Amino acid sequence: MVKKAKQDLPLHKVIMVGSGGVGKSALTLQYMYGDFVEEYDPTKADSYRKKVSLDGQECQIDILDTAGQEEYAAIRDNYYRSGEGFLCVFSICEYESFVHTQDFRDQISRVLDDDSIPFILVGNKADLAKIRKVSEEEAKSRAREWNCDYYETSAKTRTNVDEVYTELMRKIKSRKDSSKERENKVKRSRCVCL
Amino acid sequence: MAENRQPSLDPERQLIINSLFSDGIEDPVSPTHSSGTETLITYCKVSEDTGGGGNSPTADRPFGIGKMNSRIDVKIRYLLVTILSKNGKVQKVQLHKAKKNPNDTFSIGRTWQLEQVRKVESVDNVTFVITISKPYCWSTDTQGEKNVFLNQLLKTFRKHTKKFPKLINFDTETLAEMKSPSTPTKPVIQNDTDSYNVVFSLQERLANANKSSSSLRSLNQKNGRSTPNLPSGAQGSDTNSIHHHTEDDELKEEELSLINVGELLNDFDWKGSGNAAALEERLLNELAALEAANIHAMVESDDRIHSVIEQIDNAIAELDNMDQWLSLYTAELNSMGDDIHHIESQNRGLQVQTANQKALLSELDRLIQSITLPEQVIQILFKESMDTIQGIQNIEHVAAQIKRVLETPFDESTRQMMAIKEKLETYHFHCKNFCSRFYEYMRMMFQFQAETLISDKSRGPRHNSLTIQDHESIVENLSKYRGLSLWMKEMDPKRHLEIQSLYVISKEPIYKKETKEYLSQMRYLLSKRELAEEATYVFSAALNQSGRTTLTYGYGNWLTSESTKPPWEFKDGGGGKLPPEEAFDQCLQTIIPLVANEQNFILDFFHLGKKNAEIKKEDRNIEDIRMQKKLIEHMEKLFSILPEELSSFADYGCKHDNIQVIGMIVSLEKYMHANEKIGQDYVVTMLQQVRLHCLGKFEVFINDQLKAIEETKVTSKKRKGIVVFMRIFPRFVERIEHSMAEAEKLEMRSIVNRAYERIVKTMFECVEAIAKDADSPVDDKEQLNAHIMTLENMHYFYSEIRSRRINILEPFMRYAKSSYDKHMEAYAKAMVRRPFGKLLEFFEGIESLLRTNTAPEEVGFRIQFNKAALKKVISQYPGKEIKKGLDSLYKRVEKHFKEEEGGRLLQVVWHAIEEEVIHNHERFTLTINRCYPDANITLEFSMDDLLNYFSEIAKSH
Ligand SMILES: Nc1nc2c(ncn2[C@@H]2O[C@H](COP(=O)(O)OP(=O)(O)O)[C@@H](O)[C@H]2O)c(=O)[nH]1
Ligand SMILES: [Mg+2]
Repeated sequence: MVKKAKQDLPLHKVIMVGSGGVGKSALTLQYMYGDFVEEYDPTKADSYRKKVSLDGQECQIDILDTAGQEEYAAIRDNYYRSGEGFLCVFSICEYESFVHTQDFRDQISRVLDDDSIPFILVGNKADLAKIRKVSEEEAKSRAREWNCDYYETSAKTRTNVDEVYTELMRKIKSRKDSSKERENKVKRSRCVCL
Repeated sequence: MAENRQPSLDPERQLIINSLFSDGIEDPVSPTHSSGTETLITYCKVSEDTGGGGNSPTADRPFGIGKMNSRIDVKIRYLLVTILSKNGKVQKVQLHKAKKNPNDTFSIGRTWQLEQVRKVESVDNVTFVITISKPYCWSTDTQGEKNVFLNQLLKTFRKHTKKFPKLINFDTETLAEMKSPSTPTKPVIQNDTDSYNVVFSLQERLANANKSSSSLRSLNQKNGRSTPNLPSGAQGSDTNSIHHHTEDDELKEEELSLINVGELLNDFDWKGSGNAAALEERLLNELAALEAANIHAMVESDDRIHSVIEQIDNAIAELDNMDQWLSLYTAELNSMGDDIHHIESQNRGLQVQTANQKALLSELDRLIQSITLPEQVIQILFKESMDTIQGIQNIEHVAAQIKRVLETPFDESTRQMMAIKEKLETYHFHCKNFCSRFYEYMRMMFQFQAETLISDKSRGPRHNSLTIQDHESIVENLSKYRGLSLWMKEMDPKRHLEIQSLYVISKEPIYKKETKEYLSQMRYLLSKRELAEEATYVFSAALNQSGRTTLTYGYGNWLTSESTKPPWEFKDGGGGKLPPEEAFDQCLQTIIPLVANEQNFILDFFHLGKKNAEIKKEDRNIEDIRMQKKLIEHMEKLFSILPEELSSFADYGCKHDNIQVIGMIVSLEKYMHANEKIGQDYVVTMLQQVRLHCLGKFEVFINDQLKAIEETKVTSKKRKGIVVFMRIFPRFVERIEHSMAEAEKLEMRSIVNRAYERIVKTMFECVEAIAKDADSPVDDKEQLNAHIMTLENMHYFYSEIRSRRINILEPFMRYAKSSYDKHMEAYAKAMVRRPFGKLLEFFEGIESLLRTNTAPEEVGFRIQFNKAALKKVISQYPGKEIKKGLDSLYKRVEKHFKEEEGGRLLQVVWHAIEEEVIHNHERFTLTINRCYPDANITLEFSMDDLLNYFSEIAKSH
């Protein structure tokens, strides 16, 4: 009855951050279940898990969809601590949400004390480009500044939805792999020392 | 002048004669020999003025009144003047009053002797009064009718009666005539034989008649010569009258005058066939000329007038005589016409009868001809071979002939004819004999076919192509007898039924053998699965297993690891082996066409299908239903073992894995549906039988699942994470949906949906049972466990089922979500009690006080809530203490949630606790500000402190 435990499947923990109403939940649900919810339910944070195949390898993605409009940013710290990668979402139709991405970025850096954490800037609601308030250029230049990728997505049309998650998981995975290697090297060198 | 009504043009007259005086017609040729013949002289249709009948009408009565009255109380009557004669002698002259009946017959109401008439009074154009015993007032339709009638009446008076009535309102001529009624004509004609005289006398007579009729018409021209007539006795002494006639004299006179008329007409160049109108024209012209001459002569030679008058009178008398005779002849001729008519029609009837008899004779000939068949027909029926197509065709041909003869639609009487009866009986006999022959032949045929098939070594299931070969060879061999089968069905239905049974009996063993063999071979093809695999999606099996193993997390692990493989994949997939549900489907695919073909064959060969014949609708329905029943009966016999065999195959397939039954039911429903559309009733019934069996198994299966779920021990004593059945359920659903791929429109869909509902309900009940009495926010281990388990399980259910998109489970999904939210909140509330225990109690105390309508300012006056108490409790919770409390709180939460699913809910739960803590801080601060506004007391830890603690906790983990 001894079988391989599920935990052995690599698990990548992704955290959705961004202002309220930009489409974090919509993106998550679109990715998880392939449907789009029109109504806006700003209340709760939730955690989702799904088995996926990443470049031919089975793994699990764990998405923590946060509320994003808490009165006290600090209580999000524990989320960020648990994250291995971040999708920082704003709505291209709402400039303020773009401004706020800076706050989220700062908080993450502070909590994790790590600038190289996998992080993607996501301009959502690309299907509403007609009423765009944030130019692609501006968003891209910010991404350059942060040394991260920029994607424009639409939870409604599923444009780039799979892509952002997959890309983020790749980054998480490669980061894990390289750190493992480092560990191994350290271990090996220790052995040599001994 | 009555003759202007020609009898032939006067149907009324004919009717009267037919109805009243027809005994004269009996012997129309010689009325004189009849014992007593009444002859109609004239008649007149009158309206009788009953209202004014008693009053003598007056001449100056306004014209309109009579008419008006007549409209109100008028009876239509007919006045008939007749002569009753015997042996050619006039006996009586009568006046009848008759009534016309609706059926065109007449009945006489009253009869008077003409002598009884006392007075005749002309009242106006159409009305006249005849006084007999009392005055009768009658009116005719037209003036002409009145004139003609009265004229005729008066003539009759003159001729036949000795008594004269009194005439009132008649012109002079009429009266004069009445006074000298029967001037002998003989002397005039004999004396003046030269044509002039004859012409003259005739002319005079005509002129006279003309005058009298015109005078009748112009009533206002009446002169005072309406003096009372002499009594009848005085007639003899009248100066102008020469003879007192005896009846013999009169007869002679009449004969003579007839001769005269003949001569007269000769003179006028008038033959019987001559133009009457021309004659009339000529006569009238002459008349006018003569009139003028006459008047002239009268005026010029007064002395000759007497002789002229005398001549005229003679002529009139002659003419009257002729008139009389003519009317008699007319009557005679009329009655002769009737006789001729009668004879003619009799003659025609006879001709028709002759023709009919001829036709009948030839018809009979034809009939006998048509039902007589050549002897050779019978020979063919008994000797012709039934092995060859040609032979069968010959037989069919003669059989059809016999059938046609036997079914000739004779009516009952024809059928009773000896000749026909005998013929038909012989043919019936031959038919019966042939039926026996055909029956015997078919019996051997069936037997032979069946034996050939059974012993055919090429048949039977072979290893690599498992199937049952069709029975096409039998169908082919038998099809040629289809026509004879139909013939037999109609000629001898009972025998035909026997043939059907023979067929069924001979084929049943083949089907039995072949299906049995096939199904047992199929069994080897079934793949088996190991129980452990099944355990990942079936509650009953999995839960039995878990009963044997101690519940460790490890057990949950094997369960989840399995789930990476679709639950319907078989270990020994491939190798030609089939999952039972697919094998079952394949069996159906093989067997159903066999059954359907058989039904088609029986239907066709034995002609058990619906008839479109022109039988009455309800009859047809009854007949159709009978056929249908027969057909099903045969099919049931032929495939009697099928439902059972298929059911037992299903049982076998489910032996290791009951869930297979779902796919089987889907297959059954699918084929039932398809066959229903094409009228394969037996297939449908048969499948339905198997389906019911399988549904029973399904029900048992679901009940087992429910029992297993209910028996699972869910306890809050120990946290077990996601309950086994919750974990199984998504895979259970997935597995079933795999079998339901084609079932969207089938009944099975709703059956499965109902099963889902029952299972989910049971699962939820089990999960929530432990949390039932855990609603109060107490830091009790068991209650906390209940919250943890419920929220974990509900969250699991929600996210798993959501990703599987099963509509029917939507409401349960939402329910699970809200249950999760509820327990999350309860858990957070319970958990924060430990680090904030006394503070919470204190402020909750104040809050409940405030709820009992205590003003916020008054709170401070309560001993337990005064400032000192507040200070004391606050001092017990310095920031350092809070920090420590939160640290250990985090550890506890972590311990609660880390175990399950890689701690996926930990962050969410901790977040909820953070918010609860912040909420409490806000709540306490608010209460202090409200109830102790001037006390200048604050909590010993600020919001920023709290946020820092959280950040530190976040960093340190
Ligand atoms: N047109 C459009 N609407 C979107 C898109 N993404 C989200 N929304 C809508 O924006 C509202 C907020 O989305 P939600 O995902 O709840 O925002 P969250 O607060 O970031 O989780 C909802 O009404 C969504 O339907 C998008 O890509 N296009
Ligand atoms: Mg949201």
